[in-house]
Amino acid sequence: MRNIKTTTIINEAKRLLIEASFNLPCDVMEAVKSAAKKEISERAKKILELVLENAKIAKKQKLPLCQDCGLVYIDLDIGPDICIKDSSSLNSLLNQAVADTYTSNYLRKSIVSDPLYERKNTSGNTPAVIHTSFTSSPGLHIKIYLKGGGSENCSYLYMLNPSTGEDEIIELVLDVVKKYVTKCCPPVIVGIGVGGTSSEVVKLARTASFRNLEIRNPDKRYRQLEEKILKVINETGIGPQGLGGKTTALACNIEYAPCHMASLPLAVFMSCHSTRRADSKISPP
Amino acid sequence: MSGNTFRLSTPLTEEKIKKLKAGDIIYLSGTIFGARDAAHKRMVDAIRYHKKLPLDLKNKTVFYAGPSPTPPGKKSGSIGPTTSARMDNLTEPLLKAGLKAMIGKGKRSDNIKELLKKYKSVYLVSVGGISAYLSTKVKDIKIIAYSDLEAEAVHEIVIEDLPLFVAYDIYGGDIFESALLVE
Repeated sequence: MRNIKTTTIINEAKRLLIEASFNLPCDVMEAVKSAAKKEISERAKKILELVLENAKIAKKQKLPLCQDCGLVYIDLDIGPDICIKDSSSLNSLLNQAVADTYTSNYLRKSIVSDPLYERKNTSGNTPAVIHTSFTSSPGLHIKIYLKGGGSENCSYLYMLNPSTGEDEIIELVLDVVKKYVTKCCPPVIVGIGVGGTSSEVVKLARTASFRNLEIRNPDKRYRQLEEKILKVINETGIGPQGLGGKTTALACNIEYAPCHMASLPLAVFMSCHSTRRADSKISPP
Repeated sequence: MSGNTFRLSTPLTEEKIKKLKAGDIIYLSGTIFGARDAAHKRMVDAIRYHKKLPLDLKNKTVFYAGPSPTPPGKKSGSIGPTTSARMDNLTEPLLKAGLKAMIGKGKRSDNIKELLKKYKSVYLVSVGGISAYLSTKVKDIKIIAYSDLEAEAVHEIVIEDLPLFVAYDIYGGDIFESALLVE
């Protein structure tokens, strides 16, 4: 068993928050570049080129990629060899790290306290949504995701009959895209969760939408379903920002899990073209 | 599919708006006002209860935007449009008060198209998620009202050549519909 100090985790979290805010992930950048080459519409091509230009400016000038600097998700995957010292204070220290980083880097604070009545800004972009889980992989894997409100509002959950087939699922996802995608800054990354429970399937969809675009589903059937859904989405012609073109989505990622025999949960979780994520693994000496 | 390109300055008056068709490109310069969800709610309440508005809306352009804070030595933080449809239910009172143009992103409800015909106002879209780039088009930005709302306060924004598309014109034209007919 190896000890990791909370200060090590906090410092790494701060570094990842900055990296995610100012740097478009390489895989997203490559997907946008390749989409720009395929676009015939001048308008669509121009928009995708502006996305790339924006990434350059953000990195060089240390300006946030998007003014919506997002709600912060922090996932900590804790390996079997890891012991976190002072773990009882970890969540509050992580939230403090978020508040410090957002203030000192001029990132927009977008979180309001009471959702229904006061809606007062918490002035620190906190609380972050923090998930910890124990995994079989050694080391401590820290994953940071920044999620904008526009795309967050396009999340959908369906509790389907177990007899539902692949075609109906394709239709449902396509329907969500057609109705709502112009509100979540296309080209999007469509994350889909299948199975689990009503609460777990949304997490699966979130994991899917933040999955590196170079990683395809290891199960051939789901990989083919990802490809089919991406194809029909891009055949709509909705395009970048909804202003026409071949690139409505950069990718469709699916994650699945076993479920109750009476259920077939399905969740759709959209990420905008400015999908911001950063991760690293701390392996103690 | 590509429309005309115009270089325009604020105020966007009815005379200027009449020339615009869905699909046109505009490079807009002048002063616009940043206001989104919470500021809209307050302005609509102010109109309803006959209280003073933070600005005279006649011939004004509102940008649905909550910018990131301006870092030292820069003219603006990152800035870009938020989803316009969230403002749909709060739009008519502002149009009635003279608002002439709205800048945002995404489709809006069909009712908005009818209101734009009625009040001779226009809906423009900016590209979302390219906010570091768009910040280079900002010459000055400051909070002028509702400062307790922080990012959602009303901002006065001086812009130069902000690139925009005409989304809904005063004739019922819709860039999202026409875009689908092309491919």
